[in-house]
Amino acid sequence: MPRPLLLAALLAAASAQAQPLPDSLLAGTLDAVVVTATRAARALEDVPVPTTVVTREEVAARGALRLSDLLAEQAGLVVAPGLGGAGLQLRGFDSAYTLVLIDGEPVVGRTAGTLDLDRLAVTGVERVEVVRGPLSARYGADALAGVVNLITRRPGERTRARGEVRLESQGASDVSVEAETGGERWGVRAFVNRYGSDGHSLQPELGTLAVPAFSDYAAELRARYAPSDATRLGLQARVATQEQEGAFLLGGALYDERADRTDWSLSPTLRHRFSRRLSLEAGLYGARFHNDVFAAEREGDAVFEETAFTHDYAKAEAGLTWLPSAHHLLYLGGGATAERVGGDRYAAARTASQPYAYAEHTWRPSELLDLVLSARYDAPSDYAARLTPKAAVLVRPLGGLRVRASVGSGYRAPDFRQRYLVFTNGAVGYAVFGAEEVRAGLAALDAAGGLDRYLIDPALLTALRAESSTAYGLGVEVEPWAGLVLRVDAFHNEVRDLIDTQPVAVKTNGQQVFSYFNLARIYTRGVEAEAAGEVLRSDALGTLALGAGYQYLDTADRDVLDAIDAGLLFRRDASGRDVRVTRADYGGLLGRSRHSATLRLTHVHEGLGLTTSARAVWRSRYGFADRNGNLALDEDREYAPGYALVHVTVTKALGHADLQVGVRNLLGHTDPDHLPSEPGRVLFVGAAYRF
Amino acid sequence: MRSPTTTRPAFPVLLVLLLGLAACDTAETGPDPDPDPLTVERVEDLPADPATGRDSLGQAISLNRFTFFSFADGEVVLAYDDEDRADSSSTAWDVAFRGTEVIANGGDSGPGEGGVQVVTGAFDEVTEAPADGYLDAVPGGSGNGWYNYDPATFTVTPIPGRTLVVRTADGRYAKLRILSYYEGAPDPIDPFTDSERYYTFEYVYQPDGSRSFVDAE
Repeated sequence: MPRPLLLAALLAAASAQAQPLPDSLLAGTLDAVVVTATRAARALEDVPVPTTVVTREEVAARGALRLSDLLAEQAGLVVAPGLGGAGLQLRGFDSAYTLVLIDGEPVVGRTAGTLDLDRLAVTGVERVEVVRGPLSARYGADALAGVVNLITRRPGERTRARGEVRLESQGASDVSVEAETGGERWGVRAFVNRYGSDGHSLQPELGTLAVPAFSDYAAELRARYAPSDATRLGLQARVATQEQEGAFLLGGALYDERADRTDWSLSPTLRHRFSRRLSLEAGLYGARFHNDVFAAEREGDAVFEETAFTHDYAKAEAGLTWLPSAHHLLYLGGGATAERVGGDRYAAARTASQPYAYAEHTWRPSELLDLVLSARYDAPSDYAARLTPKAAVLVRPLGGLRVRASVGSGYRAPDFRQRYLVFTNGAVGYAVFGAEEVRAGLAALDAAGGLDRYLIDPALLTALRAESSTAYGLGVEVEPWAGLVLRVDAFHNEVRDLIDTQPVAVKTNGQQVFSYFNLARIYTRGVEAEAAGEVLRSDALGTLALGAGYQYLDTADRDVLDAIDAGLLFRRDASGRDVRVTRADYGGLLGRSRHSATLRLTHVHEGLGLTTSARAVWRSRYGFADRNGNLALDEDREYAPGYALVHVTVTKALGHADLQVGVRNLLGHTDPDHLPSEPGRVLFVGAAYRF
Repeated sequence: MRSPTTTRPAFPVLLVLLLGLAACDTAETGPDPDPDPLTVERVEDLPADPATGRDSLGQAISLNRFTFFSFADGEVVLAYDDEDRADSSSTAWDVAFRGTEVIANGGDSGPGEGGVQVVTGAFDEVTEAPADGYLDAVPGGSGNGWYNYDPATFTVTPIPGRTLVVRTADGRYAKLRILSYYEGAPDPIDPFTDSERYYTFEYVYQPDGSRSFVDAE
């Protein structure tokens, strides 16, 4: 099975050869392929922003269960385990800077900024789109890294059902059932999934669990109804729960941890077409995320954590798509969000609201050129209003050659945690206060006799500013012959006022009090290259498609570079001498691999009903932790080793059934010190049946 | 006279008890026609108010007292757990440690003429004490003074390339480099099992009253 980019490109190549490229934007709105990158649905090859798509066929061929599985195998994407779960690293940015959407609406519920991609099942999706760069005006200015949009399947016009079961060698199992029914004017589709595991340990002698025991349930409902030819109504609803039980070691003591999570969302939508040139879209969205965590020493009284957290999110939005002429496409939209968080780590329920408006203008002056200019205006309740303009251009100088260039700005207002957190770590005793709470928190500690001394004059504590970024992109895509696509994209992001913690005081127990500050200036830059093509197509041998991706990534903290240049940054070498760190020693931001690569092979044999999908993911060493006191990454022992993961899945079609066997992490790579959540080699068998 | 060895045994508290009275003061003898060469001395595991227990919540509690050190004696003159605190307000000490706090005997910190400042530069490269710029205490906070705190690993580590230059209670000079904040100077540090608030440091003391940290020719 060809990979999706290739498929789209092949279709494009075929149509481009059959007929001249349309110079009208009308065609683009009729053949919808991609919806995330720009406001209007566009054919993939017409999108001026780097975008990739993973289709449901590809999801099925890989046997991917969770969004984390799927994205980890995409070129240039790294899924890194962290405090808040499996987070996505995109273009050198942490998980907090990528927006994750389901059907265009944001998934809420992040822990320490990370959205856990293990939460989201991909069994029922139609496709997953990944947009790179802060170039999507519609979805918010805060997606500095990019946008991942998980698009669920539209209810079809027939009645049918599908059931799927999977068992894994390390105790995990997955069961899902989906059913749909409908006609031309209406349709309903329901999806239910249970995913669970008894947990898995890499070091059973310690009593800890690399993969905690868990049981996830998710149910989704999607309905459509068209009262007339011009009007379409939609409803998306989703509810998911998770119960998780784990164990971890802290200071030699074993702690048991239990977490219960519930999240739901509901989204009614309306689309109305006034004419072929003018249509309206409107929608409401509500979501809630609730999490309870309890962690306590197994043999003792110490309670490490006992917290409840709730995040509510509501949004109303409407927009108009207007084609004033065949060469211009305009989208004008606006709306407002309202959010509320509450829980044990907040002194009181906190709210924020943000009205916004955006405009996007696509201009196709000739068939050689597409120009997209867009701007977004956000007026958050507690921060200065901000306009974020973006521009992208797609040039087609020759058949089979496309050049994309873009420049855009993004900004991200401080989140609830950075502003309002009130947290004391029970086992260790340190405390973290959000920027709005720190004065009151310190005063209360002081009054209670719990404060030893200030490290920063409290008078100098100032309000947080929004983080802001500028992104540049330049890419070339070429099809030297039909069936082979080569793509190279270069990117550069400059980010200012990154928010991080810093100690502000010392408690009488010797532990520190932290708060949030606008600290760092960073850049992330690199080159992504991708090649995809069909190397074999025959009736006897089947179809063989290959895809290869590579990313070179260079990141740095500009303050560290300045300190190096000024000769202020030292490290202590093995003999105990202090030596100056040079630019050549500096490895950039922690957690980033300079090199990463993916290789994909898909073989489809229609006659035998066999589909084989093999994927390899490799990343070079990455900075893990400071070991020599200067907080900069500059020594070999501060890195975690690179690693490769190889996955193979074979699917056999048997009438109404599909049988699947596969192996995850074929080479059995494990690294308890740096990658504790990787359980090693996992074998699985699955079966699906269509009714 | 001070011992020419470059490594001090552990448990300087005990040494204070054993050797404190025997140490003699070079300050009153005037310029020595044939001075001892300057040596790098090392102090291991100086206890800077370490935890004495845990409270009902399991959090560390300590006596909240300094340990005082004299360069001329080369020893602790008053430990955090000595009950008689009389020497704390004398000029018998030059520098004192409590948690991450480091103070000098002068100004608000003590009755002496002392001071301390953080000089950016490798220990070996600091060949002369600055003429001015001395403070009563090393600035506190991560990255401001002698240490970095890494919130990712919960670890306090000395900043490489930071040399503390101390003016002693009687106006002489020493340079000091902190090597570890954990008992036994472990590497790597496990902040959950290694005991913190134990200083291992090395220093060079210039007894002749000059600001130079190199031997006179």
